[in-house]
Amino acid sequence: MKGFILRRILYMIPTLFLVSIVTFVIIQLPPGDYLDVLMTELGEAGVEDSSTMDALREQYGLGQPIYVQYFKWMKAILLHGDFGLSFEKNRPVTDLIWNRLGWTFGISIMTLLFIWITALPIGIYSAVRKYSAGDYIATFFGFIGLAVPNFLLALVMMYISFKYFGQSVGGLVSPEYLDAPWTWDKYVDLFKHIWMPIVVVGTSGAAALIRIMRANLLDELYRPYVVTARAKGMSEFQLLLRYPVRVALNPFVSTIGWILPTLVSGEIIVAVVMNLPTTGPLLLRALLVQDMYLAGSLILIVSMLTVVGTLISDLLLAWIDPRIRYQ
Amino acid sequence: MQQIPMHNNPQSDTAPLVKIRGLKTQFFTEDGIVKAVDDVDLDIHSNRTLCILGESGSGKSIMARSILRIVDNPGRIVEGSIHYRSADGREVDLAKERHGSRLLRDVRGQDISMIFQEPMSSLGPITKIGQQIVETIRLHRNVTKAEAKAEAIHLLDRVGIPRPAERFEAYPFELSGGMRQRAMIAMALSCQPRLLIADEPTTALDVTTQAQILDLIAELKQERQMGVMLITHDMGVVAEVAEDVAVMYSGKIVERGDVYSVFENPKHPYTKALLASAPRLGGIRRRRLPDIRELLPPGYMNNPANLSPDARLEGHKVAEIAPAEPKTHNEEDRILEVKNLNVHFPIGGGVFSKSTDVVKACDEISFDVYRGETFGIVGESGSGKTSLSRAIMRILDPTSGEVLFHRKAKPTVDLTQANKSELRDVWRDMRMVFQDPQSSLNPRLRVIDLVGQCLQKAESLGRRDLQARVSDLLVQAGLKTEFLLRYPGAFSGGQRQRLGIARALATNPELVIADEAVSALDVSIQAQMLNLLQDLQDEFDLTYLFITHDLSVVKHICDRVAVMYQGKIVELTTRDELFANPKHPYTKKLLAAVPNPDPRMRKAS
Repeated sequence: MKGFILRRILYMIPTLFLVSIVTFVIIQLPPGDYLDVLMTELGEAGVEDSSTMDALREQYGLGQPIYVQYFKWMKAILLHGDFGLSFEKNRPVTDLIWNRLGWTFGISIMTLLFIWITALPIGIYSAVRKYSAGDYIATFFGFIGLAVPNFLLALVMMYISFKYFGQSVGGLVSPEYLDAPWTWDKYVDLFKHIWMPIVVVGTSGAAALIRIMRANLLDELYRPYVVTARAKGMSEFQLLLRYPVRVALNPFVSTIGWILPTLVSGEIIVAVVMNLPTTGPLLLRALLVQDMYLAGSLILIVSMLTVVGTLISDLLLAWIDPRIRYQ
Repeated sequence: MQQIPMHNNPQSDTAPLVKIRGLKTQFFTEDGIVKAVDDVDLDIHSNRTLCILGESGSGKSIMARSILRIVDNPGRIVEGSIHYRSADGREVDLAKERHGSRLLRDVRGQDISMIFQEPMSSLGPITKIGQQIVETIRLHRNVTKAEAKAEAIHLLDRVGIPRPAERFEAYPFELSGGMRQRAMIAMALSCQPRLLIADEPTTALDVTTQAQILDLIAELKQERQMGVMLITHDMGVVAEVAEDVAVMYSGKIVERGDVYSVFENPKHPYTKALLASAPRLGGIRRRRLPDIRELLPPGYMNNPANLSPDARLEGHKVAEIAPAEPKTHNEEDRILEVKNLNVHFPIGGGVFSKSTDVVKACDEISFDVYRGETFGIVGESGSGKTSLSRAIMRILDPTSGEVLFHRKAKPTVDLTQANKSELRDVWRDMRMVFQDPQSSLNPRLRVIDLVGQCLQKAESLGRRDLQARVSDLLVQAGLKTEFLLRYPGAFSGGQRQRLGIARALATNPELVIADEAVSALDVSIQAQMLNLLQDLQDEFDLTYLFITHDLSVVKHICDRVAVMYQGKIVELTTRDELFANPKHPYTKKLLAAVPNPDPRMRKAS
């Protein structure tokens, strides 16, 4: 097991290196750079000042070849934890992202828990009571959850809670608490808001996982080892949880690997619609104005977290399923 | 009319442990009701071994599962009673109990426990062996985890698992088949059951392992005075361990009695046919393997009247089979020469380190195969016989050595040196029949393409010509031409193996390598398959290289035999010599382990 963990951690290094290169190449792909965007905006405002532009270009090293820029960027990150400067906001990238990453992380973990808590019992029920009314209901809602786009779900839920429950929607706390210190009331207010993005983002994941769980468990339920457990005298509930469910659990653990990138990049629209302080809207804006160090840093950190998430899920998988360790 | 005694044993005056009366278990499927168990009466006594003998599909397994009420949906007990007498003398009817009731769960595992055929799939795949035993103990007995663990280690030791404390932590996939079955037995015995039901416990195991497991069960039965109900299709196993025998066919018990009366004085024609078809190691080699259906008049067993224990064969006798004429082969006319063949697999080492050692799957193997003969390679699993067959075919690259293939009209090839296109040509003349007819046929291809694929590539036939050729092949393999457009899913195991044979013969090969080609099949289908292979050999002048772990198969089909042990050929001789006069200690051990279908020849116990 130790060797397995070590090996997996070593494999991460080249992966992260490649990810950083690809990230950098991608943000360099669109023609022009932040200064071109700035110049256009200034030009529209009637200001024409190419010497200032050239000075700025020199300062940020934007005129240099791409690999020089890459090495400068990576060197600063690795040696000083400095992700560079956001052109648009004129502040260090690190100042802008940590708060948002924290929220993103928090919402991701809660969404993960929401997905697990709903999908596990419903998936098991659907498999054990195959073709029962409950199974059909779960299947029906599962397909709806899969088919409805998340932003639409977000809009509908916001409308309903605003119209019928008079709740303030958008953001994670009510406007009056925005700059208030963290008090008990603010936490209560936070939980009044935060369930909505969690449900919106988690629904499709939960729906997918219910289907996967059902299919996996159906494969396991009629295996000989289940008969053995029954012949030992275990109760149906006990044996269900201890044998087939444990074997069918692998996809649950794998969700750790994909929930983070989904939330960060896939749910940008939801985050914009619901005005969430996550990294999504920040990334969108950074890409629109070609704020390359901000966008690059976000993509890099999210990719890193994804790689780490995948690692954690792989290690967990190896822990719950010993057969994987020996392959 | 002679009355058949229910049981004529000394204990018959004591009340039976389990008394089954009029039991009917039926499956309610879309195609109608399947009567898996049809009106069975049976008594099971403590301290006796009852064998239920029958072919697959006879309902013996479902009958056993009915006792514990673990028949899967859509199966149901529709009628009858299963009276179990508990240790304090009370009787309960298990058939009337509600599914999953407290009483049923107490009986399961504690009073009556069960072991199954395939220990790999019957043990939880990702739970430690020890944990599975501890769990059983703690289900039925009020002991602490530490006590249960000590007990489990003791049990593992008792069933002959070396280093039990270490194996307590092992997962099923880390153990060999025999060890897994021992662990399964340890689990079944953990609560001192009064009845042990063993459903084909040794069918998936090698002969030597089989003998050990049977001995172990017999020993534990003595030690604990428990009843044993052993389900098997193997007459040899029955003769080895049974005290009482019940023969099942089509859900009914057609004959029962103590083992000597059933074997020496069988009443029912089906039992007679079964006994006549049982493979025996000693005695003469018969021309054809007896197939039960051929021994009885056509349609005999389809008549419900013939399924009662009192049925008689009017005007017929169970047929006799003629002995085979000895075959001789020209020793100069070799088809295959294997010289100093080595196959080594590296083991040990990690990502950054080189392998530390090698496993010698084949170690300096040399032998010749003569044209027209059947050459057998016998060995237990892990002896390297499959690696050898793959290295000969060059599916696997050998480490060193030569494999010379002499063909009638083409130049000799050394397969170890052959290039891709030469190999493709060789693979037309040297074909393989695989072990598992389920997984060796692509389920998404129709029969015509499955069988005809290689033909089409080799000869670029048109669709109509192909159809004609494949039809011929199907008929030769004993199948119907209507099957041309069906998918493999529509066939039974035996029919699928016939398809595999038809596919192997499609290109008119000279040498056919059969790797455990009949091992996965039921005895009666096995007999049909071996007969078919022999007929085809005569008709097409084929040479067979037969790889198997089953000595009774060797005995019936092979002319010469090589015995493999730990990657080496330890004995190479003619079939008659091998059985009459084995030289190597391993061969002797292998032969001694084969159960003899004669209860009087039982090994001392």
